[in-house]
Amino acid sequence: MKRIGMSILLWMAGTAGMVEAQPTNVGQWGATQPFPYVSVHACLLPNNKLIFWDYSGNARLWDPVTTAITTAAQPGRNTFCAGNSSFGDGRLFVPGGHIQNNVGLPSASYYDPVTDTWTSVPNMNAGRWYPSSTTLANGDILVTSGDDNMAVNDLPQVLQAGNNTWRDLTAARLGLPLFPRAFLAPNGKVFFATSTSRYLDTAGAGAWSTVGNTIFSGHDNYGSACMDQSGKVYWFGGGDPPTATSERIDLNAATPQWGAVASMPQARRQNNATILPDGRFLVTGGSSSGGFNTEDGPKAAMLYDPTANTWATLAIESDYRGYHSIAVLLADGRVLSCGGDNHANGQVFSPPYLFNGARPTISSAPATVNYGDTFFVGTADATGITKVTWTRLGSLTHAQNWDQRINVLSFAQAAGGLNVTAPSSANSTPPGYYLLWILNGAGVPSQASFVRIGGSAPPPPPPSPPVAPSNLTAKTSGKRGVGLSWTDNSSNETGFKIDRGTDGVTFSQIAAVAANVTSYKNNGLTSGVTYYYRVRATSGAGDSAYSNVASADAR
Amino acid sequence: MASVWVGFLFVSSGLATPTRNPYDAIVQRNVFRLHEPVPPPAPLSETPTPKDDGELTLTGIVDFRKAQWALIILTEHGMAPRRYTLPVGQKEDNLEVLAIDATTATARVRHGSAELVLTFDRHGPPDQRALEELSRKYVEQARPFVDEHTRAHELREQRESERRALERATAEAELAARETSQQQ
Repeated sequence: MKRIGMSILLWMAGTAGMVEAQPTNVGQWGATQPFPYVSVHACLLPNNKLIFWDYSGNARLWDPVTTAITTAAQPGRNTFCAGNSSFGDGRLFVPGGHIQNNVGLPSASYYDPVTDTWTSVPNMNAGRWYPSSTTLANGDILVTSGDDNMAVNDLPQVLQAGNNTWRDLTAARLGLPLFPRAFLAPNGKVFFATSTSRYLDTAGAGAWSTVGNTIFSGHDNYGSACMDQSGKVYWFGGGDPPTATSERIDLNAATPQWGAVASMPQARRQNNATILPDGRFLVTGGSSSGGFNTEDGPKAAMLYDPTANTWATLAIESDYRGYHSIAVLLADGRVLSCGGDNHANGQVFSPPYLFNGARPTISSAPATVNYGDTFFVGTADATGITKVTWTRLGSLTHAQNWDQRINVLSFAQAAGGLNVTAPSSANSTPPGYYLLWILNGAGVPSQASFVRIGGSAPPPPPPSPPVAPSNLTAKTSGKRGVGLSWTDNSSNETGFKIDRGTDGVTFSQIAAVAANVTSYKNNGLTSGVTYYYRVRATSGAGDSAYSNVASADAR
Repeated sequence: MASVWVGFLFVSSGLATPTRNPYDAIVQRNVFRLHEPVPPPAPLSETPTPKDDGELTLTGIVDFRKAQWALIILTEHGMAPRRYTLPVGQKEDNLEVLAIDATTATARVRHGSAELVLTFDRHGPPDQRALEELSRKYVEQARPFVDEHTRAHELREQRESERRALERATAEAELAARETSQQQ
């Protein structure tokens, strides 16, 4: 039993914020929740859980309804500083990771929220530390940039979702910034909103085309970029010292070029921009001071209206959120802001629209739709609905939400609900899970329903390595040469690796030959020495077992 | 005699922890009530159903000789938490206090159509300060890594700013040449 004085004081402290807030105008921050780890990466999953992990890849699940934090399956490698974006079926793809600063892992895997499992895919060409991961219109995922070993990996690669194999864009090698902000554009190419902005055409071997420079050169030094419903990409903040400059480029224009829009009320870097259900952007966290991550105190949320080109300053968060912080839109219309170096906690923001009266309610919605479908959304509030949108589930790290985007959906009132039409283009709406919102005339959104568009069944498991060759024979061939031949037992190899040794025990690779080749001549040997050989097939899925060992003397 | 109960929840249960984790010590203490992964979630084809009735947290019971109050927080999905200080027999919104027993530190309430007994064991708030302390210790343990990581980025940004400047100059020249070509 506690004394009354202390108890009442505790309670009063808890209510103080309620009196001061004017949520109708500035929204409201909830209580700060301690987290067991800093949420460097965070992704909303189709089961309405948020997976997050920290500097060591410790994966946890946060439940937005109960705020409970539970242990997720562990990725089996350090996924700190990896990329993250979603497949069309809701699995979360995570390429690369951390070996040490500026040295990345070549491995990649995906997290399946249904089975709570991680599954590896074949390694990338090399390590990637700070790569970007971008879901394409066909559900494949483009991976770019990231440091391999103190230098950037300049080869763009596409993970083909249908068979989990990599396609290298060998004609598009280019050094890019770390974590380049990339967006699937209305023309189907990938737009890189980097200081020098470009399109990457991912067809064939890939091709770059220059679009132009941003006005402010340093946005991609930890500013946050996002795309609106009409193919316009925005930059908010970044640079050192940070900028308040905001700019926009219209990717549907004949000749897209960056132009200034209203500056933020306060300069920021390490900030997060979140698309809200009504199409406005919420900018949270960040530092206003020079330096990489100067902790200069908690920040007000800022709200940008892209239609009116105006900013509003909202309620101040309780904690500083800088480098390694995230902000993600939740299915109830609130925004979780959490993490940042030295801040293992989170806080949920209720935007002003949640205080503008009763929320419309979705009573039914389909779980999946196809492109161009008209589908029925049940609601008793149909007559009051003025806008229907959906937003792609967010996946974040390093001041960027890699998956979020919004579509405004056309709709018509119907008996007991709305007939809503899904977008017809996968360029504007890459396959995957979206939060479906209905909004009334006061701009109040419903709670969202999870709806999947496109995205077929999960792809088959990773391909198996090829079958080992057999019947290897070695014969003395000419002067100081040995001829090899073997039987190719595989139908999916990309080549063969040939090993040689002189004791029959230790071997090293001496050559590689192409697929379907079944012989090799080893020249330049030393007369009188017995040479031992073995062969294995190889493919993107790995190497086969070895063949039998065969030997021959060189003359 | 006036008395007040304030709820604290202390939890200690087992937890399977990942290996090679520098923060194992924190995890093993498990004050966050982490547990083994729950059974697989509902299939993706099922739309998640938000909770409608919200959760009640008993934060205090005040017992004066002639009056008693229950201090309760209601957390509803998608809403800011609401706090209530209700005597027996008073109803506010969807919540009514039916009885308060200061001896056992319980409050019987009707929440919507459901009637339940709130206890500090089951409905009390977690020990926020203990959770914060663990987060603070984690942050302190991580700080050397964070500092080194930040320094690495500061160095890399120096290189990046040079690359960026060169790239911008090249792009400007390319676009100028393209424009000239189009004009001709």
